[in-house]
Amino acid sequence: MTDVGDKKILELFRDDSSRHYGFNLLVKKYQKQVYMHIRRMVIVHDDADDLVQETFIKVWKNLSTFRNDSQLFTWIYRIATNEAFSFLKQKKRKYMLLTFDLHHYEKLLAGNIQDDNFFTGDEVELKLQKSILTLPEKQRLVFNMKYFDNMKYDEISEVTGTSVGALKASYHIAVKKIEEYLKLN
Amino acid sequence: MSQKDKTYKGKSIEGLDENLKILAGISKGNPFTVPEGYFDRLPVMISERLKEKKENHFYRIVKSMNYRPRLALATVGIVTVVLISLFLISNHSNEALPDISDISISDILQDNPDFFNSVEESDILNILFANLEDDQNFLSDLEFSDITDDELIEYLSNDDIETDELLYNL
Repeated sequence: MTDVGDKKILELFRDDSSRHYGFNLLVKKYQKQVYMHIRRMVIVHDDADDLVQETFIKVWKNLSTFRNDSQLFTWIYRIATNEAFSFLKQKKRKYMLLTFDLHHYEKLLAGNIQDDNFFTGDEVELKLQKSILTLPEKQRLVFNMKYFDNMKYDEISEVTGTSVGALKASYHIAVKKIEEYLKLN
Repeated sequence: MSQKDKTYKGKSIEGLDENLKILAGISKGNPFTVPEGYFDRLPVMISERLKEKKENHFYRIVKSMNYRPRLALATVGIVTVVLISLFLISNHSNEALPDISDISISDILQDNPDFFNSVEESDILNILFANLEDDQNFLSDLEFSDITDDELIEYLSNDDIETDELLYNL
C-alpha cells in the first residue's frame, strides 16, 4: 500500500469521491519519515506526535494548491520543518524569558534525553544526539537531513530554500563542530 | 561533483566526507522509538482531528453550552441587555433637534415661567451700558470724529452724491 506513487495519490486526492482515501494513502506513505524528521528536531515524542498531526492537517488543507514544481515529499518536509521551527522558537522564547539563557531549552533537552522512555540509543548515540543539540537549528536541520536521511543537497535545498553551496558549507561546519564535541567528550 | 560545487564563497569544501572520521564509527541507526502501534493509530488520529477542525465554530460554542446551562443563560441575558441598550441609545440619538426658528419667546416663557424673574435688573443695566460704552469708544476712534455737524449736513445735502457712493462709504 505504501508503494503507491505520488501521482496516483494526487489523482485520488483531487477527486472528491476518493479524496479521503488518497489522503490516507499519503499519510501512510510518509508518516514515518515526517515523524522522524520532526522527532530529531524536537526530541520529545509527545511534541513530535502533536507536530506530525499538525503537519498532515496542513498538508490536507493545502494539497489542492500543490504544483508539481517540487517533489511531494520535499513539499511535505517543508511544512514539517516550519512546524518544528515554530515550535522550537516558542519554546526557546519561553525558556529564555524564564532563565535569560538563549540556549536553555536545548540544554534541557540534552540533559533529559537519556531519561526519555522512547530513546533506545547507546552511550555513543546519546553523545552524538547531545552534540547535535549544540548546533544552531538550521545547521541541525541540514545535518539531520544529510546524515540520517541521506537526502541530496538539491532536495535539502527545496526544503530549506537555501542554495546548495550554502548547505554544503553548513553541513561542513556542523560536522566539524560535532567532531570537536565528540573529541572533548 | 563539479568544480563549482567544490567551493562556497571562495573556500574549498572538497573532501567533506573525509571529515567524518569520528562519525564513521557511530551507528546511523535510529535511537528514537515510538509507542507500540503508534504508526497504525496515527492516520486515524489525523482523520479525527480533521473532523474536529471541520466542525462549525458556532456549533462548537452551542455544543459547549449544552454542558454549561448556567453559562448559557447568563450569556443570553447579557446579550439581551446589550441589544436593548443599543436599541434605546440609537433611538435617543435619532431624535430630531428642534429648529431654532420654531422657538418663540412665549415657548421659552411657557417652559421657564421664572426666566425673567431670575435675572436681576442691575445685571441687565450693566450689560446695556457696557455695550453703549463700547460703541462710544468705537466712534471716538474713527478718523472723522473731528468733523463738525455743519460740515456733515452740507456734505449730505449735496445732490451730486450717488446713493451707491453714500452706501459704499458707510
